[in-house]
Parts: sequence; structure tokens; C-alpha cells
Amino acid sequence: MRVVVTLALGIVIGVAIGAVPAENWSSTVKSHEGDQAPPDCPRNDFSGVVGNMLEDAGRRNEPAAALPPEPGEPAVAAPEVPPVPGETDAKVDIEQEVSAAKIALEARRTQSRAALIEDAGLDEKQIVAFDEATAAMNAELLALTGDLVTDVQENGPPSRRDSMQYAAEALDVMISAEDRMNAVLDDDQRADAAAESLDPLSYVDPAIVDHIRELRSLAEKR
Amino acid sequence: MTEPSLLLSFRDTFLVARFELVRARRTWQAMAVILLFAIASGGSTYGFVQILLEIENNLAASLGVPPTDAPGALTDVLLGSDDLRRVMRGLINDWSLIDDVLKWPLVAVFHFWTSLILVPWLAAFVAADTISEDVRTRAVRFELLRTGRLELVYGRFLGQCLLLAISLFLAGLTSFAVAWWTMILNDPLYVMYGLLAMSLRAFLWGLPFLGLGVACSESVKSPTWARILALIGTTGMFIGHGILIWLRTKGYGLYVSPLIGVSPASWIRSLWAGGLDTALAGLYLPAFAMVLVGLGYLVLARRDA
Repeated sequence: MRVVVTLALGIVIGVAIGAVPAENWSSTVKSHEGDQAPPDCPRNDFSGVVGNMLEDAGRRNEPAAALPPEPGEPAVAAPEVPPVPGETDAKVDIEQEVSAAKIALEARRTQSRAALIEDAGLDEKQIVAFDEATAAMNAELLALTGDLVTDVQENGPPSRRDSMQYAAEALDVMISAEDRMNAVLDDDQRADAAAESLDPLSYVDPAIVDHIRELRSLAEKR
Repeated sequence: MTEPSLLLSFRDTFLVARFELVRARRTWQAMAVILLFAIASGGSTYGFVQILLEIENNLAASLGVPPTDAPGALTDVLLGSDDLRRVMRGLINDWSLIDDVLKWPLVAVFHFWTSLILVPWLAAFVAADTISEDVRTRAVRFELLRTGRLELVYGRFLGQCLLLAISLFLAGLTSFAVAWWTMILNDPLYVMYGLLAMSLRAFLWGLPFLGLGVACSESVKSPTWARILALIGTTGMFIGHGILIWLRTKGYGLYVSPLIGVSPASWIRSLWAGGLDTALAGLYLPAFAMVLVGLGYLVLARRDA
């Protein structure tokens, strides 16, 4: 056993000796409270709390002028400058909006499906049938919006009548999808399910956002 | 007295470890430790599930969709949200690790985080009566007739390590069972794998404190004092680490860096990081535990058993 204990002691001493220069090259022996954490990063563990208390106490006793940072210590972050509004920012905003819309749609359909399964107690067969109904609806909606995008690209903005035609087709798709979704459930299950869980709009594929975005950019170009 | 050969020494150590496990089973200590870890782990997982349920149902309300009784449906959405990333930064305290950590199931991440808080004190407390009770009753002398003190000490330490490993493994399974019953798991096998992987890291994290408990047990005759010492020592390790970090910011880095390097709290980041970092922690933390046990042995070796 002495050999193993001596080996263990060697490892610990090695780490202790190595810790002095190693702090700048090995992430392993770096303390996460020190160099790794951003200046505004709160310390959540017990040691961090003690360290913060001591630092705060030290700061209270220090003159106002800040000391220069130690070598290897993070420089104090410069105050944030508000971004100047411009074209790049607008693009970023649109990307963020699109991303947020997709996340929201995905969250809506995932949560609605989970709530429906939980409330109505759907079995495996019913879940498959329900998923097929929503998938069919989304396929038709995506085809329809895809046609609309192509139409706008080739012929410009649709006429009032064409717009109403597209809207009517979209409504038809939704109504027939709701019928198919309702047909999967029996009367008791329909009574148990929340109304939002049987709303076809809760199951719209986030991919449709891309088509809407294309339409928006086409409209902006014109 | 002549030194036993290396093989004989290992054999004795393993025999003592086996005996320690058997004794823990016979005296119901094993059952108590397993239950302690399982209840702590299961309870914290249940708490996490309730928090997740509240977050998800608030999100569902803002999206205009119905709430659920079991959370889990919106976990993937939450994983992509900035709010959760900020919470995770608060937990792991390092932006650079967040993407790696969030690859694991959330319940496994939370399991490891609570283990970082609970395991040190539990491990030190449990290990603190490993030797002191037998020294107090002088029962230890019967074992010392058959083996050396070093083998006895490290054998018991090894036995406690095995007990901790079993307890944390079962605690991981308890967390999985609680998650399985109370939330929607999209990939149960991955969640189980995540929990067991985090249990292994929690085991590595617990070793230095287990070593501290055994060292305290070697140093005093009273098991009660050994437990008190172990708990104070565990708390002191964290306070000491905080003081060292503070001293480093005050320009004493050259002097305190070796101590910060050997402090177990410095290795938390490596345990979160995975890969080679965790492997290095897997080498260092057991070695540190063995050194602590060795320090206790220096006291025990001079004592009249």
C-alpha cells in the first residue's frame, strides 16, 4: 500500500507545484471562480460566497482608484455602448423574430400534443392517427404557401380575389384537418381534451414561417 | 516487524475492504447510507420536476396552449432559451461550458449540481465513524493482529468508497425513477445514461470528503467528535478555498496558487467539463483522498490501539 500512497502523494504534490505556472495553460487546475468567470458572473457556491464577501469587504476599505489587474487576471469589462441602429441590426432583428416565431410554434404544437395525450388519454394507435392528421394538414399548408410565394415571385402581388382564394383554401385545409383530428378521438376523449388541444392552429409547422418571411421580403422589395 | 510484500499488502487491503462492506451490510449501515442518498437524490429530483412544471406551464400560458400535469414536453424549447442558459451559468459558473453541459438531460445536470452540494457533507459524515468506534472500544486490536495499520486504514477507506459508489449509483437510479414517474421523458435511456454518468462524477467529487471523514475518524477516538470534525473540516475546505481565491486577487497568487490547485473545489469545473478534464479529476481526486487518509494514518500509527 505504501507504493500507492506514495504515488498519490506524488500526484498531489505535482498538482500543487504545477498549479503555479499551470494556471495559465491548464484549464484543469484553474479555479472557476477566478480567471474563468466573467467579471459579472455571480459565484454560487459556498467558497465563492465567502470569496465575494471578502472581496466586497476589501473593496470598502480601498481607495476609489482601481488597482491594475494582476497578470493573467481578466481585464475589467468596458461599459457597454448601445448599438447604433442600422441595416445590420435590422437584419439581426428579423432573424431573431423568425427564430422566436419558429420556437413559439414548435413549443405550441409540442405542448398541445402533450396536453392532449395527457388529458384525453390517447393510445398509441390514436397518437399515430392524430400525428398523421396534423402532418397532412401541414403538408397541404406548406404546399399552399409555397404556391403563393412562387405566384408572387412570378406575377407580383396577388389580386384581391386571388388573395381571398388562397385564404379560403387555407381555411378549407384547417377545417378538414380539424374534422380528421376530431375523428381520431371518441366523445369522452373530446370532452376531456382542452379546446386548444384540438385547435388545428396549435399544430402548424414552424417551417411555414420561412414562407411568410419570403413573402415579407418580396413585399419589401416592391 | 517486517514490511509485508506489495501483493500481500494489497490482498489484506482488499480483504479489509470486503469485510467493511459485509459489516456495513450486517449492521444496516449500508442500508442507512443508501436510503440517505436515495432520499436526498429522489427528493431533489422531485423538487426539480416541480420547478420545471411551473416554468413549462407558465410558458404554455403565455403561448395560449393548455398546461400539463407532467413537465418535459417543452424541455427542448427551454434548452434553446437564453433564460435557461443564464440559470445554467448561475449553476456552473462558466459560460464556456454551457453548451457542453446542456447536451446532457436537464434532470441529470440538476442531479449533479445537487450532488455537488450534498455529497461532500454526507460522505464526510458517513465515513467519520469508520475507525474511531473500533479504536474507542479497542476492537480494532483484533483486526490488527492479522494485518497492518496501513492496510486496515486503506482497506476501510476502500470499503467506504465502494459503499459510496453503490449509494450514488442507486441514488442515480432513484432520480431516474422519480423523473420517469413525474415527467415526460423523450429518451428514457439517454436520461438514465446521463444520470449514471453524473453519479460517477458525483462519486469522484465525494472522494476527498470521504477521505477527510476517514482521516477524522483516525484522529480521534470518539465517533461523535470524528463526525463533528469531519463536518467542520468539509465546511472549512470551502471557506478556505474562498479565502485563498480572495488572497489571490490581493496579489498573493504565487503563494496561494499551489493550495488552490490542490483544493477539491478547484476541480468542480473539470468535473463539469467532461472528457480529459474529468479523467484528470478522476486521477487527482482519489489521490487527494488517499493523502488525507494518509495524514490521519500518521496520527493513528502513533496511537496505542
